[in-house]
Amino acid sequence: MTADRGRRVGLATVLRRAQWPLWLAAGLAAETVLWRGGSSADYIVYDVFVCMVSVSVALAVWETDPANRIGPLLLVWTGWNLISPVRFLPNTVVICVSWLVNAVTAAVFAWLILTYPDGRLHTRTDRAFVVGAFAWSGSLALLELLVAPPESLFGSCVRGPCPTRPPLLRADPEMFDTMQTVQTVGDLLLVTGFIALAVRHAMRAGPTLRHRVRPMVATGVLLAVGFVVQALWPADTVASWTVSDLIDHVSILLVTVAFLGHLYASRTERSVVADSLAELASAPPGAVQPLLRRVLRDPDVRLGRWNPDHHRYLDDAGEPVRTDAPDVVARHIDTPSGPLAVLVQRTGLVHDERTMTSVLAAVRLALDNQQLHEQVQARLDEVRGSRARLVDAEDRARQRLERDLHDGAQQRLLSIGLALQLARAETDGSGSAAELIEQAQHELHHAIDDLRDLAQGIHPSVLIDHGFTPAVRALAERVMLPVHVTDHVQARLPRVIEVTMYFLVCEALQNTVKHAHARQAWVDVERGPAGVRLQVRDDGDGGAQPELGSGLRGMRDRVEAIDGSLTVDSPLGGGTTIVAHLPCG
Amino acid sequence: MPPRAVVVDDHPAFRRMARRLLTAAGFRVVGEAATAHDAVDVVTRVDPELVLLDVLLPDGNGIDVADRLRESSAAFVVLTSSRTRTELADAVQTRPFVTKAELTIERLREMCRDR
Repeated sequence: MTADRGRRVGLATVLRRAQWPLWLAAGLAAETVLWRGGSSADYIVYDVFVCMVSVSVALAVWETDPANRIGPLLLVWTGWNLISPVRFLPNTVVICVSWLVNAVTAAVFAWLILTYPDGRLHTRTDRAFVVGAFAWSGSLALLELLVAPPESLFGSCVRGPCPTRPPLLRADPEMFDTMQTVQTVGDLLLVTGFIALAVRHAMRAGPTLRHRVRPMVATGVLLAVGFVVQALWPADTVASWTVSDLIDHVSILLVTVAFLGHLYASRTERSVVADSLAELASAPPGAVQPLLRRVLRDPDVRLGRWNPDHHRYLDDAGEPVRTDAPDVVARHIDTPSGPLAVLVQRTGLVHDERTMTSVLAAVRLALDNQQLHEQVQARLDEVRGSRARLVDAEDRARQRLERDLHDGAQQRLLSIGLALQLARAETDGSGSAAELIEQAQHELHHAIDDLRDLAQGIHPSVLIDHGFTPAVRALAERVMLPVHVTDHVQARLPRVIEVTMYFLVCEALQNTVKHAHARQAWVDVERGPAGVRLQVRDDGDGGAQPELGSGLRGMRDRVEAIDGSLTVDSPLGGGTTIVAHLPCG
Repeated sequence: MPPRAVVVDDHPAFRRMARRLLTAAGFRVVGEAATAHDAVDVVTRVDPELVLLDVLLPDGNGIDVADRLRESSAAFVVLTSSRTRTELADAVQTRPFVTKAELTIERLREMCRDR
């Protein structure tokens, strides 16, 4: 689909560019008429040059923003200026068509100025004016054609006998003069209206486009004044033709310069936007709209993201973004799975289509990135939560198992111990029966101790009942190594932190006893910058490799599961120091 | 007249054996309880000389029960638990305490004598 679109755009571009030689050929052909009529070669070269430059600018404007109506409008106006000498050809049809086209070129120009720069007429008055101007100019020219005396229509034929009147028309010089007068008055009124609307158009332009609209409107007003001068200048004199030619050429030059300025401004603007596209595409959440306002120099532009729950577009503050408000232009950014966002600008502040296409692509990229980031973050949060829940579930399972051992097997063994004691009391303390009972009591005590150790290893009840430090002190009593416990926190910590710390100490001390050949160990707990800092160290051989041992690796996983961190420092011969930073509220 | 005793523990098998042990030690077991609530009730009612009281009860802490009994009874309360004094941390403090594994006729008599 994208490739097809690209091919269509390419074809349109080729067709637009192919117009240039066509216009040149048409212009040269038209100028030939003047040359044959006796105009000087200098004048013709000059006329072709000026008009071709203006047509080239019009084609460039169209090329810059193909979807904008100002390109074709400018081309119509400048193109007619180029080929208008055809009106001097001795051909009735050509002369009549030229008469009509020539009559409406001023309306085309008014349309062009009032619609600048986005190609849209924004107010009802503007639209009514343009329609009225076309209706007035076109209808009056048509009426004039019906009654114009031949010399008025064909008096300026450059070669050969002028064609005769078409048979259906009846010459009426008086009526024609009256119409000319009415037309002059009407045209002057239209010019006045145009100036008023153009000035209003310039005044209403926002800060973003003011610097572009005002020079264009000034040009339009100057041309309107020139039109008034042409209209009021005494007709059918040599001077009137000279003044008319001068005004025509100055007008074309002014408009050409104005639209060259427009091209320059567009290019500069696009360059500024292009420079900011990368920044825009990588903007973090909440920064896209402010950046858009800066890039587009439009303080009112709003970006709404589609909220599927509310079925509407919402801005960063959660406020709905209306796309159907009057005087706004909404550009939708959609994805195959549905709407993504909308960019809403006030009409009259809209940049050219190519710029906006780039901006929208960057916004789409930014939003896609944000969406991706949010999805990844959500998955990460989900995984973190799931890992924390697994750790918690494991702790609870351990606690249940310890409780079951304590309440079940351990109590039964203790009861058996009492029974054996009573049985032994029944004997006289000697004999094989007493001896067997004593052995059984001895074994039973070992079994109870083993079971207690097992239960405490699974989940020490003292940890839950009395906290980390008493649990570690109890642990230290069972370890065949002096362990110095220092607790600077002196307060109960969240259960998950205490359990994690306890099993970390268990693992570390177990490694110390098994592998380190240490003489003593230290366990220190203190408040850290963002929670608790636990340090377990020994004076053993060092050389521990946490990446090779499943115990410490498992502890690192467990610590990271609650967003903590674990470091192991174990130089050979320098003992082992394990430091864990654990967040707690 | 042998001194009277009450056994408080939530494990029936242990209560049964403790009753026989106390009897063998010269006590007359006049009551049993499986919960903290029942313990206060029974002890207040029968007013024994000795209470063998488990630290961990389903509805509360034996140490709290001992504190309450101190106000209403002159009974000698011996705390007992399957856990060691270290595992119970400082909870039992200097109170009379014996682990269930070390509960013997001799130990009971000794504790009563040293009271």
